[in-house]
Order: sequence, then C-alpha cells, then structure tokens
Amino acid sequence: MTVLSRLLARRTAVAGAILLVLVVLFCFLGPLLYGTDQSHTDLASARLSPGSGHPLGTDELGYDVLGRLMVAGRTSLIIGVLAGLIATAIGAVWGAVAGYTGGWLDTVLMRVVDTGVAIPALFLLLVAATLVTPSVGVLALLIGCVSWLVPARLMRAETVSLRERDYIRAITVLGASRTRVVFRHIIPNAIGTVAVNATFQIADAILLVAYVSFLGLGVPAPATDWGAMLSKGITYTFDGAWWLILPPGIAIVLVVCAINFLGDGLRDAFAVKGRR
Amino acid sequence: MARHPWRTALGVTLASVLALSGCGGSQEQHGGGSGAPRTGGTARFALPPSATPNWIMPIAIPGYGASYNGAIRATMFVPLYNYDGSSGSVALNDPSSAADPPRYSADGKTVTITLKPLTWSTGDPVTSRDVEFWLNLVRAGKDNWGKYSEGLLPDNIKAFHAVDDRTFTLTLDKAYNPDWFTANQLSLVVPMPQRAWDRTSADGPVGDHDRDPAGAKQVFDFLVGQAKKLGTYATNPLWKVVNGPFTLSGFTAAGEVTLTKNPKYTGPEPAKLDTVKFLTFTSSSAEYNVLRAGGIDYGYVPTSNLGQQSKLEAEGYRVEPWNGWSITYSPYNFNNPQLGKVFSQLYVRQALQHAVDQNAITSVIWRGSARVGYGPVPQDNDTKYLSQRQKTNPYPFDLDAARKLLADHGWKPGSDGVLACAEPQLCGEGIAAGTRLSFTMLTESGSDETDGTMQELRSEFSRIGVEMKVNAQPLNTVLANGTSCEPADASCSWQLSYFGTQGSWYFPANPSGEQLFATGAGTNFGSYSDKHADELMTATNLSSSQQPMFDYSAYLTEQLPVLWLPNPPYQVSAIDTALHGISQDPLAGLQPQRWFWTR
Repeated sequence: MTVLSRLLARRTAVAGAILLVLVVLFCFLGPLLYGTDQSHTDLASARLSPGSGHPLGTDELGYDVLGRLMVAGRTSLIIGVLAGLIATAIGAVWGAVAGYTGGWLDTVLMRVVDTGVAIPALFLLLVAATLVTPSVGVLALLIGCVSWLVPARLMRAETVSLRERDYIRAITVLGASRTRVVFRHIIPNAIGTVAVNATFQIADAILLVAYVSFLGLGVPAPATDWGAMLSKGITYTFDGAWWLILPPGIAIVLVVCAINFLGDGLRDAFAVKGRR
Repeated sequence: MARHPWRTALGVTLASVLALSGCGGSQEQHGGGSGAPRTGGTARFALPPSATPNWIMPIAIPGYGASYNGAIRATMFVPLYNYDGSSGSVALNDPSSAADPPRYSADGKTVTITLKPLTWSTGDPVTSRDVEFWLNLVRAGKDNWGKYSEGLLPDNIKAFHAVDDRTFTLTLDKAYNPDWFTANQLSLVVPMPQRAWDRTSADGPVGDHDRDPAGAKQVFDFLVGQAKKLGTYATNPLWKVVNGPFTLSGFTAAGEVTLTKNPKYTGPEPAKLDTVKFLTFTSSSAEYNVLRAGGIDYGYVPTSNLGQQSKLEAEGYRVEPWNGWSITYSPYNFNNPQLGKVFSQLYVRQALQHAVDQNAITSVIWRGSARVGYGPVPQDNDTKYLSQRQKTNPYPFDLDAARKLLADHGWKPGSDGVLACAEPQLCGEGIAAGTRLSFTMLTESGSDETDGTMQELRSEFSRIGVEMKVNAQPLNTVLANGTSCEPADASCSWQLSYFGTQGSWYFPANPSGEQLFATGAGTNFGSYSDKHADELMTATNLSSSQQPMFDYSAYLTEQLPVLWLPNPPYQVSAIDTALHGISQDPLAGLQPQRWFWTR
C-alpha cells in the first residue's frame, strides 16, 4: 500500500482533510459568494444579533461577522501555513546539518536549540511584536523563527540514524560534498518526518497567531484574524454577544483539530512504511 | 506543543473558558459594612488602561503631565491652591490648599498670601522660602516646564517678597482678572522643601543655590534628573520629604504606586486610610476582569460592559460616571516636515473635521457615556463659558462637504484612491505637487473605545480620500513622543496624536486655553500659532467679563487648532459600597485622604 492509500484508510485523517478543504474554500472562495465591506465601519449597524442580512450578526463597529470570519480565517491560515513552512524549513536544515556533521558543530547547534526551547515562544513573540509593526508577512516570519526548534531536534535524530546507512556512507566515500549529502540525500529521505511535523507546525502556528492577537498584538485593524476576533468579542461577552466569540472560537478549534487529525494520519502512514 | 488533537482541542477550550471567566481567581467580597466610619485599612484604585505614573517632582517637564501624576503628587506635596468640584461646581478647596485665600491689592498688581501651618516630614515648617524656591526653579527651568506659557507664570511675577516665615507678596506685571489668576496661575505653585532639595547633586551641600540663576538651573536639572529615575522613587531620600497626608512607600517598574499615611502630617485633612494602592493594567478589559474578580476597590467599567451595571451592584459596587472638566482632541503637528504645511491649511482641517461623526462615536462606541465636543471649552458641564458658535457646531458630519473642500483646492485621487495635490497653486503655500493626504495617528493603546474611535476615523477619512494609519502605543509613550518640536528635529516625525481615552485635557478652574493653544505654550504639542487667538486668550486672562471667553470659544471652534473629538468621561467608576468619602472631581483630582472604610 502506498502512503496515500494508507492515509485514506484512516477515517480521522480523511475527516481532517475534508474539513480543512471546506475551511479553505470558506475563507478563500466564500468572500466571492458572500461579499461584505470589511474595510469601512458601519456604526449604524453595530452589535446586531444574527438575523436576516447578517446571518452571524455584526460586531461593535458594524462589520458583518460572517464576512469577517472569512477574511480573518484567510489571515490565520496564510500566517499559519507560511509560519509552519518557515519553521519546518529552518528546523530541517539546522537539524540535518547538526546531525550529519557531528562533533563540536553538532554540540554548538543543539545547545542553541536547547537554549531556545527554554524560552517560551509566546514571550519572544510578544517582545518582537512590540518592536515591529505586525503584518501578515512579519507575523509569519516571527512565528516561523520561534517555532523551528522542535523540528530541528526531530531532524537531527533522523539524520543521526540516516548517516549510518550504507548508501550515505557510499556517497560520502565517493566524495560528495556535505552540502550535497544534506540537501540531496538526508533531507529527502527524512521527508516523512518533515511532512508530518509540518502539519503540527501549521496547527501550532495558527494557535500562536490566535494567542498573539488575543493579547492585542496581531495584525492592525481593519485586518483581523480569528484570535483578534475572539479577543474583541470577549469584551462583549458579559453583554451576551455570543455571536462575537463562538464563530472564531469554533473555527480555531476545528482547524487546529483538522490539521492535527491529518498530521496523526500522516505519521501513522509513514510509520507503517518505516516498519516495512 | 500539543501532539494529540483531542488534547489540543481541550487546551483551546479550557483557555477560552478561563478567558471568559475573567482568568479565574478567587472572588473577593465587596459591599456591606456597618455604615460607621473606621480608620485604617487599604484601598486599591485602578489607574487608566496602559497608564503608569512616571513623575513625582512638583515641576513636571513636557510629556509627564498626565493627570494621575498630578493627582498622586498632590497627596504628598500640597499645592498652594487646590480647586475641585466636590461642592458641585468647580471652586477653591480650602482644606487641601497650602495657603489661605489670596488678598489682591486695590490696583490688582500685588497679591498677599499667608501659608497654613503645615510641616515637612523633617519637622521643618513650610515657609515662604519654600514658595520662593519653587519660583526660582521655575524661572530657571521654565523652558522645560510643561505648564509654561510665554508671558505667564513665572514671567508675570515681577517680584517676590517674604513678609515673614508664612506670609509673602507677589508683585505682578499688570492687573489680571483675580479669579483667573488664582485659579489658573497660583494653583500651579507648589511649595517645595528648600532645606532638603536646594542642592546640585545627591551628596552636595544644601544651600541657597536657587537664589542665583545659574545655581537654580543646576538645582532644577539635578531634581529633574532624580525624577527621571523611576526605580528610586520609593527609596530616594529627596522624595521622602513631604508635607501632604501621604508618603510614597512603593513604586514598581510597572508603575504600581503605594501611598501610606504620613504620620507627621500637620494639616487639616489627615489620611483616614493606612494605605492606598494604585494598580496598573495594560487594557480596560484586563482591569475589568480583575474588578469582576474582586481585586479592585475603586475601579472603572469599560463602556462595552456598561450593560453589567446590575451585576456589579449585586457584587457590592456602586457604579457612577465621573465626568471631567475637560475637552478631547487630536493635535495636528504643524511643524511636521512632511505634512505641517498641509495641516496649516484651514480648509484641510475643515474637511477632516467634517468627516468626524461625533454623534455616532458617542452613542455607539462610547455607548452614550461620552459627549460631543466642538471647541476649546468644556461642553458637558457648566456651560457659562460656552459660545453659541461652539454649541451649534460649524462643521457637522458631512462627507460631501469634506470631499468638495478638498477637490476645490486641487486634490485629486491617485491610483490607490488616496488624494494627492494635483494643483499646487490651489493646495496652498508650501505644498508640493504630488503630496499625498496620508498620515499616521499616534494613539494610546489599551482601550477598546479608543481603538474603535480610531477605526471609525480611519474609515470615514478613507471615504473622503484621506489615508490614516494607526500607531497605538502606551499612553506615556504617546505623551512623550507627541510633544512640540521643530521641523528639523528627529522627534518631529509624529503627525497627529490622540491621548483622550479619559479626556485629553483637564482644565484648571477657569477653562482658558493659554496652556494649550497660545504660541509656544508648554502643552501646545502641535505648535499651533495664531496671533488673533493669542490676543483672545490674553483678553480672557485680564478681563473679568465673560465676553472674551465667548470670543475665544467661537474663534477656536472655527479655526480648528486641533481635531475636535467626543469627550469621554474620566471614567465610569465602580466603587465598593463600603468605601466612602469619595467625590469624583471633574478636575481629575483624587483626595484619597478623605476616603474611609465602613467595613
């Protein structure tokens, strides 16, 4: 069985993938079918409860919540995916170089990782977000740059195992450069580990975006993301405006779960391949 | 990081539940009490969102004049004259003043003042020399004094004469309106402990350095330098010498302040509480969560939560609005190298003012707790100073009028929809072709209402082709970075600023504007300068008639030295029903020495 067929055999993974596709369609195609003005305030329509014209109501500045959920989701997903890929790429290269080179360089590189792991990512993000103006690109970069430590450790462990394989020894003896070995042989052969970890990184990044925005340091208004929506909505919780917190809250939970389901499925699929 | 989907989902859900429940924490009991006053105890007061006290010296330099700095300072260093609204209207509050009411000579040019028998915590009496010391330092450092306006204090005092230890006379340069002079000039004077502070270094000898202008400047610079060391506030022996009902016993890096009763206070209003704690919060939402958890005795309710009044009352709080003797605005930086010339055009200011929907902002964003404001005189309290022109708003919300003003003066939309000057001869002097109507608003962070107001302004401005970017910073940063400057200064990059979550400016008893809008005034952050406005303000300072104030109100309403904005209340307070003695002073004073518990 191929990895794909094994993945498709896992119902939670398929459910996660379907859910993810639906959310992506909702966020990226939704605004084409359900157009709303997410740039200008409309104070005359502020804090309307769900009803005709506004299926999920409006927020404190009159923005349509359903339309805002789509726009916010787009921001959260873009930042999450970009940050996840950045973290995975940095971590893969860092871990592969450390694991393949060994010696003092391995020690230095991995002590850097140990030190980084000891500092909470959220703390680093909050400090960085106060120094630079957050935007989609900046947030993706920041989150990516504080999230590569775990993939680096995973990749190093995988590399230490791979470098003892005969084909790696052979191409080393034949004179292949370290760069070639790392990028053409080590990383491609660890693609299963990398792919699985990338899904977790994306899920974690989406949560980190939500945390940072929840603390008021997300993308500047009128842009928004699910965390920012949740943060603003909670202000009105005591007034019973449930429609301001449930939609973004549910969206975050659904997407993070979907990506984790998919990641779990991928891990199992690759694990079976590894056992064979 | 979670590796199990259900664990992740559970974590997210728990985090949400915790946030919704006010971050957990045990609920403290409020309310109750026997009704009988008791001495002692502690009261916890919530400072405004993102506001942290950062000045202690009675002479505040520009950028350090936040109202809470002054309110806390007045508990330790008693001002010569204190005004408040505890009687129902703004009036002199004799018990919390350091001197008896002033006596003016028949020609109005000499003022005789007698100090009350107050004592410094060193045991030394408060004397005329302490007032002379303040005056000498202000003379030496007036360019660095945040309350300075050219021609006014200290320039208008020609001579100081000590009659005896407790009585002195001031000779004025001309006859002023006595009510205005006491309320807006003498109220700025704060006796300072000459015998403890008249030194040029921490270990230098105390002397009469202030009587020589060069020496006075050295003393001023030394004290300002000490006042900038926030971390030493609670331990610096300088600040331990107080004559007020409280002394400072704690000051954290986050700005949390602890006042304790001054056992050596000899005035008429000793503190009833042992301790008052001032707590800081990064946002009004954070404050409200702590309030709901019971961790604050005297806090505030964000307007977004005003619907919760009955629940708060059930938890032992009384909810009372605290309206200010104030106005709220955004100063234009007329010296900004990019846009100063643009802001100098009255038609530009008129267009922007037409794009401010004050009614919607007050009713929706502030949920009716703010009041519209169209000019330089407080509009929602005593209206005896208000001109008809200001009352009737010459620039109502009208986007078409705004667009027409800009189009008629040669502004055309670029490819991104933002207006650019296409006909420089129409745009105005000093405005180059291609100049874009795009600016950044430096605004205070931490308030949902302010965030909402900024989004509303940005939105309406974009509808007339003006781009507004928002740069939100803590209040102290906004106050420090949005001060007056010269075009060549690196600090002149700010374009508009907003520091009005609790009102931008709290007036002294007389709402004249010489500190705000006079040429070169210390709090004239945007460097507005208009000869006729200066003349009108001078007239309000000299005449006892109401007409100069009406003229001033009408002229500045039309001239728009700043962007007039809705005036929020100081706060909607939530006060423990067992905490008494509180009067919510429209001048933003606190007088915590009058607070007492009945529980």
